[in-house]
Amino acid sequence: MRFKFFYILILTFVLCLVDSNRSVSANDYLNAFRAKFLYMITKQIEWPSSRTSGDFVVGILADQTVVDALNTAFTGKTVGAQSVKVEAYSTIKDMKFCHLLYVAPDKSTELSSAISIAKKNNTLLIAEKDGLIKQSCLNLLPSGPKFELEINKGNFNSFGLKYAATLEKYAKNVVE
Amino acid sequence: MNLKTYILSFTFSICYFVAFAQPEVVNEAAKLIQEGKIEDAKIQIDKAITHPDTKDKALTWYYRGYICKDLFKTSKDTSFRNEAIKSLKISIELDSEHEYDGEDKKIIQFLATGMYNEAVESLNLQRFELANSLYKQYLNAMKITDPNYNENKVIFYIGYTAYMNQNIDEAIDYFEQAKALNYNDPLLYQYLGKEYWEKGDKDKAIAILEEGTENHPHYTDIVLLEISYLITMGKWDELEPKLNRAINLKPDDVELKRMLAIIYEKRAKLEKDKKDELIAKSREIYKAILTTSPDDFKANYNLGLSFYNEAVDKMNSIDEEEDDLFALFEIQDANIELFKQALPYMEKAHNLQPENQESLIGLSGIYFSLNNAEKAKEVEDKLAALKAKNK
Repeated sequence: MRFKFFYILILTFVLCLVDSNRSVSANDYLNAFRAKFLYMITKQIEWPSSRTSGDFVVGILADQTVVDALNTAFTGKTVGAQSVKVEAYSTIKDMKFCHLLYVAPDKSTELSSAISIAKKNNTLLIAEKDGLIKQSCLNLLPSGPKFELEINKGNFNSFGLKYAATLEKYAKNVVE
Repeated sequence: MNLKTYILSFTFSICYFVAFAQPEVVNEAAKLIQEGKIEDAKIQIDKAITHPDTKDKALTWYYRGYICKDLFKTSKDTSFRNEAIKSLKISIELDSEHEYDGEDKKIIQFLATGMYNEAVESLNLQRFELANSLYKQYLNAMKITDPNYNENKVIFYIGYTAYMNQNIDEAIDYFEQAKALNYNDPLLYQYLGKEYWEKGDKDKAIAILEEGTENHPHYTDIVLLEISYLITMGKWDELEPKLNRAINLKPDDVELKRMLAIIYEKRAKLEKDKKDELIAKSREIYKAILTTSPDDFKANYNLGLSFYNEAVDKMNSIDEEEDDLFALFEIQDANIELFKQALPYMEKAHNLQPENQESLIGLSGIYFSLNNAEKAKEVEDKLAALKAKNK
């Protein structure tokens, strides 16, 4: 008396054990890049002294998968002495004060509406689409299979923000 | 046993016993047996077992055993079989001169053989509780004929039926007895290891399976069971030799090879200093599988995913506090190469199983990462359509 199917059963079981949690999310990589970039860029920017107390607010105008990924990435992080707080907006109308606003490519039509509020609040506007550097402070320009950095020097000045001189060495394009 | 010889021998014995002076009530029973009046004989012999002159005679109990055996044969009422064995046991105990114990034992063996056959039949019908009881009865009956009787196969099956009845302690007890009696079957180690595991004694389970593999090196099931336990225990580093052993036993088994590749990947996550070496080993295996089985979906998918995940890991490994933005932008170049390597495998996986959601997600991830928005959108649309269809 033998269980001929035991081998198949146990093999299937073992494969399930070892092969679990292998699925990926389509945007894992891009979201990891975005999270790293958004956090690392804060070290290159100087906000007015009036904005250096309380929470450091990161505003996100993007779909939920991006929001979730960035929320996870920013958990427990600080910028200087300020704790990072992530706020997700479904439209620009929901936008409140934030130190930094990331606008995803599929929300980029709303970017122009954010400019006046951003100027008033010294908000660093970050876009991610070709042609949007004119309306933002920084743009992650899709260039083939990677991103390149664009800086709008003029917007930095008019938004009351400063960036470290070294930032320009990372940029492909600096707009005056 | 030869029934004809047995009947002749018994008839001779009856004639012999009747010819000599015996207490009346026993003689009466013997005559009734000769006349084939077994039920009447039972009435007489039941009087004899309480009569002061006959109750302590081995012959009395022998007759009773014989009568009950016959009644069992005609009625199939197992209470007669039990009574027969009980009586014959008393007969043996009382038979200090060893006049009847040979006959007693023959009948017991005859009845026990029936029990054994019924146990096997019950086992085949998956009536495990009944089989368990019958094997035990068989063993106990045989122990009357020989107190040292220990058939390791029967003991194993008592353990096995207890195992199937989920009586863990009893199963372990009998399996251990069978092992001590050198029962030579890999299933013993497989089941015993499983029972120790169920009981929570994980180390003992592993030790038993190791012993089983040593004694039965060509039996793959034990190795696989041990592998599953080691995985559950998180002992990834101990798995490689076990799996290699299984692969040597079944060199054509693609699943085993794939499992080894996955285990290298798992270890790579835990053993950071050996990460590159382990990832390389896993990819070597996937590529070897694809050489012989180019249409193996899992090998294509896993290999594509392996390159994709390496890129994600590289991105995640950027230290936001220590590294500068230059490192972040630079790593993109290295990762593009990884995505390009991932792409053909993931595309192949998708072509092999166009409706597999995992490969669609993987593929869109790669296209997204290569900033190929058009292709990514195309794949995402397929995925959305598939999800809607499966709703």
